[in-house]
Amino acid sequence: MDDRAFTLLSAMLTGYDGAALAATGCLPAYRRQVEAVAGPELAARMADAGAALAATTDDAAREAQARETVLADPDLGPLARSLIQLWYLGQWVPMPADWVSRNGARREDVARILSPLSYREGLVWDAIGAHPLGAKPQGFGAWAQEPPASPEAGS
Amino acid sequence: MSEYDAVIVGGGISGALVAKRLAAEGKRVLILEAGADDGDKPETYRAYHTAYQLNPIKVPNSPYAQNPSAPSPTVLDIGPIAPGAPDHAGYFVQKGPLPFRSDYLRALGGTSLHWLGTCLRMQPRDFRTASEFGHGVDWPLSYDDLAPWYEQAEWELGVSGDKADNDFAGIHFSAEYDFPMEPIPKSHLDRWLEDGVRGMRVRLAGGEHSELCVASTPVARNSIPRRETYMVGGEPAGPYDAAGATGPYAFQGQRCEGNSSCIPLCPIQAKYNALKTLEQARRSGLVDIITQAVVSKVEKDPATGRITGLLYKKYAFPGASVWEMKRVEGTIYVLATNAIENAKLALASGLCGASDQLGRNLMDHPYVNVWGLAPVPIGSFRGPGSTASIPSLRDGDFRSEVAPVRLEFDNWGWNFAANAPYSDVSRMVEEEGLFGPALRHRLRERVQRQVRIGIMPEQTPSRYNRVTIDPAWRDSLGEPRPVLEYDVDEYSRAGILQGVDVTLEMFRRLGIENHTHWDPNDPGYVSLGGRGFVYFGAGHNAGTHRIGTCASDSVTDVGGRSWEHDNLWLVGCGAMPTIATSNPTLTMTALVLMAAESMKHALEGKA
Amino acid sequence: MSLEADRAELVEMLRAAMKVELTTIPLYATAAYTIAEEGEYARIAPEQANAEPAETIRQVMLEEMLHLALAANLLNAVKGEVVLDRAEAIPAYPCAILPSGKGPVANLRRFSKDHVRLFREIERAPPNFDKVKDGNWKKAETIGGFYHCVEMALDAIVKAHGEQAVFTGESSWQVGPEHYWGAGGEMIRVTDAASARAALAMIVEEGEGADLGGLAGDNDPIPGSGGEQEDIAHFYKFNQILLARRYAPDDRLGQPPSGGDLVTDWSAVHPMRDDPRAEDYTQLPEVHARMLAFDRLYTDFLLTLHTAFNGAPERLREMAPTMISMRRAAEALVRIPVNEAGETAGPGWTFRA
Repeated sequence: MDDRAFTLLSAMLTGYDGAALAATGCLPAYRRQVEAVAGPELAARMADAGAALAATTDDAAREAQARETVLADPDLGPLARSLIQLWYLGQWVPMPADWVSRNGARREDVARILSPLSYREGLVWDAIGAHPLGAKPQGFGAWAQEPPASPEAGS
Repeated sequence: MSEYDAVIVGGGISGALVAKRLAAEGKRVLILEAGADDGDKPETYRAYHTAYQLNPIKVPNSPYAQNPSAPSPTVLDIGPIAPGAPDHAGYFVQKGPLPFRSDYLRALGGTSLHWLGTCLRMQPRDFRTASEFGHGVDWPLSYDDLAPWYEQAEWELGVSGDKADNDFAGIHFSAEYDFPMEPIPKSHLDRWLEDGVRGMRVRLAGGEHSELCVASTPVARNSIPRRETYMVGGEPAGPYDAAGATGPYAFQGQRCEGNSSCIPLCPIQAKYNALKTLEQARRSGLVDIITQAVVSKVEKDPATGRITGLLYKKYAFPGASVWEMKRVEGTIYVLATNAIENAKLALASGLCGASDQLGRNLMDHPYVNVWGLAPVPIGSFRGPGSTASIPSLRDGDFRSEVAPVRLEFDNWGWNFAANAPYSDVSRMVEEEGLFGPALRHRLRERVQRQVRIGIMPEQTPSRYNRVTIDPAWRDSLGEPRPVLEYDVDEYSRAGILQGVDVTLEMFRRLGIENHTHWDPNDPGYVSLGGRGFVYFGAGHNAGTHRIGTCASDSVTDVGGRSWEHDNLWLVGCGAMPTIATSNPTLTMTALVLMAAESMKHALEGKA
Repeated sequence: MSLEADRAELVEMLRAAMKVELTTIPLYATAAYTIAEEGEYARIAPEQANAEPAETIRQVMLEEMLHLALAANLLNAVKGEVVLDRAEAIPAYPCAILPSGKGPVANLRRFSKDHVRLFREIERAPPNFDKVKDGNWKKAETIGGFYHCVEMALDAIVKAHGEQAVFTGESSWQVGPEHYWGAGGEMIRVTDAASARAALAMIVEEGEGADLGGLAGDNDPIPGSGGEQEDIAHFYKFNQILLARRYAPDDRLGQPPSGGDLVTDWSAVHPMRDDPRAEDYTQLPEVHARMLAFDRLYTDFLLTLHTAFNGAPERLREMAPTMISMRRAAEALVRIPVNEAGETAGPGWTFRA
């Protein structure tokens, strides 16, 4: 899966655009993690699904397509859900037992925070208008200010 | 003639302050610290930060690697206790009936590395709860006796606070005094809650009514220093020179930046920790510190009771299977570990037995969470852990019936109560099937509104809540493990329920949707009158070697000097006869500074 | 010359001083933001790669902010008007640091040895003041020389017209320690000749070092040290990054630093494309939008500074979150690739009214 395909798929699954994902600095590490757990065949299927989704321009149709072709798929679904949580939390959620029996166990498929950077760059903190606990402080007095308004769509 | 005027066991706040004060008088001091020497250099302090970021379960000791040679209790070891079958999964041996849920840290700097920093004075009536309310015991001194020491303590720790906001229930400040730094700003959440409860009156036990108010919390966390000079403990002081991070990163930590991880670690050291005092103490050139040194025995002369030396086990690295036995002597000796370790060491050395109070009266604040969803975005997960609270239930005539409580506002959403936001992401992705913009917006819409209130009740001293030792239970160094017996009585439980009821009333008034759920299978699940709830430890361990006026019912005099061993002091939260609803560190610090004065006089008497 | 003519000349000089200080801030900040943070800090190798240089540059930037405020105080003290709400007053990169157009040129570039050498040269004290002995600040080629002219002009105007006539500015407009606190030194209110000289001395000593740059120390105590440890000047701070050793305050120019190691991993740097500007990325809409958003944050920051320096110094107390959000936005930009070579975007620091 190349960076572009991975970015497209990740953008669709997370709701953050490619620039936001690149800005975390975690894109290469996350791509490697997913490839390592998925293996070449499933990784290729994910890339194809991502490309197909990118070709669908209508938002509602694309969302339905994502559900059907990726999230509901018994093999791609768990990978996609773990990928979403990897982007949002910086930690990997291992595959369920039935996935492992079908597709095999992988050394990288263990629950862990990938790195201090991945912890810090979890998207959840921006999503909730805050910052990662213990890192990227907002500055003295920031907590006294109103929480930030909801972001514009797509940014 | 021994090399040292004072040998101090423990490199936390108490030990560091005693060392600093005695060294300032020209005394030679040795500190023996059981824990590893991580953390007092900025490079290795950063290792704590890395460990924190990588640890998926961010409990208070999560940045600090467990040290098998000087183990610390961790909240992860808490489990249910079956009658007759002590729970010994962790460092503590818990005989129950209930688990003692607090932890502490044995490392250079001690538990101050992971504390929140809250610095509340006790209220005048807190010092005489027996006379006033028929519960607990009276202190051998009053608020006014302690006031000048409180002032010194607030300047030693570096407290940011607002006098005007904290003069309730008889707490008063001298006109010539002020906190060294301006208050940490209240959070947006605090001010929203404050607006909402304005004018709210509640009915308390015994028919008393109280009007709720909100007070900013004085904290040992760097804010903007005040510019003037004040009278602090009778001496002029100021303007305050804030101490940031130790070592070459001194420019960091000059002011809180909102890292929002005070517990378990302030990445920039804007929060006070004892490493700062240790650095100051070392500048005198009179303070030696030996780490990785577990004091195993305090030797005494059987005829006079005087302490003649300390034996300690020096291990080369955490987990090393061998150690060297070493001995050191001083003119005076100070136990400054913490309430539980002080009692443990003194019991193991056969000290302070006459009053039968050593190890007894173990107290904590059995802390209960109530949480909900505000009707508007509230900006949670930002700022220090807590910047304000409701003090209105901390005092009142109702205290003859139910325990007082402090209602602590928490700025980190449901992080403590429900492992938010991790649990929210997990649930939304795995169970609710959300993804993409819908996930992103749902997170903003829900998690932004999370509110948590902490109910912090008084626990009064009981002779049955205690630390003992037992040769059957030892750690890998052969040292005794603390054996704890602990319960939470009806007085505290009733106070908790009163606090819960007031909080839920507040929720209804403000339109906060209650999401509190207490799991009956949690080891901290208790009930009163059919109403159950879950308590946690607040990290406050106190009472085990209390001060008093006479040797028959206390372990030391008000200056911390042992009644039976006249060159031995015991300092720390263990000295406190009661703890009311104040996080104990500030009061402990005031007592420690008093004790240092007592030690100084004793040393000069000998010279 | 008349008081008004002398004052006008001094005001022009002090406005130029503010622009000099303002020029260095984005320059240093951009380089600092490209330093990649590493993750793992093993106990065996406790030196975290690049924590030291990042911290060093951060300290320098904070002190430059202090200098900006000191320059504002000087300007307000003589009833000059601080202008930060117009594009003409704001440096547009690349640009010369000094009004003469000579001397060091500021390009927004990533952290590198060459770039840190540039920083060092900006802060280097001139060997003497021969080139500016006529006081012509428009010809000065070093910051030290420039400020020497300012000192001379200040002395001259006070001598010619008296302190009372010169320092007529509103004292309530002065930024004091209660408004601005937390970086290298005490904020000085400028109300007379002595305080004006002290403010200028602080700017110069923190930049070049004590003893006309001959000594590494800058006469400022390190906070929390009880006044016992002295900080070192910017010139020496940059030099210690290049030489990979720390200076002590008593170290002299020309001698090696006497302190411990300062380790820099020159490869742990985000490959920001030189001289970032939003206009260069219109073909990448996501990047373009973010670069414009950064410029808007910077513009808001300048407008708030303008208000603060024009009679509302208490506004400075709330500015930490603004400055940090700029930093976060910039740190995000320098990670976003913009071309096949893997170079990345960066903060353009463009004033957009």
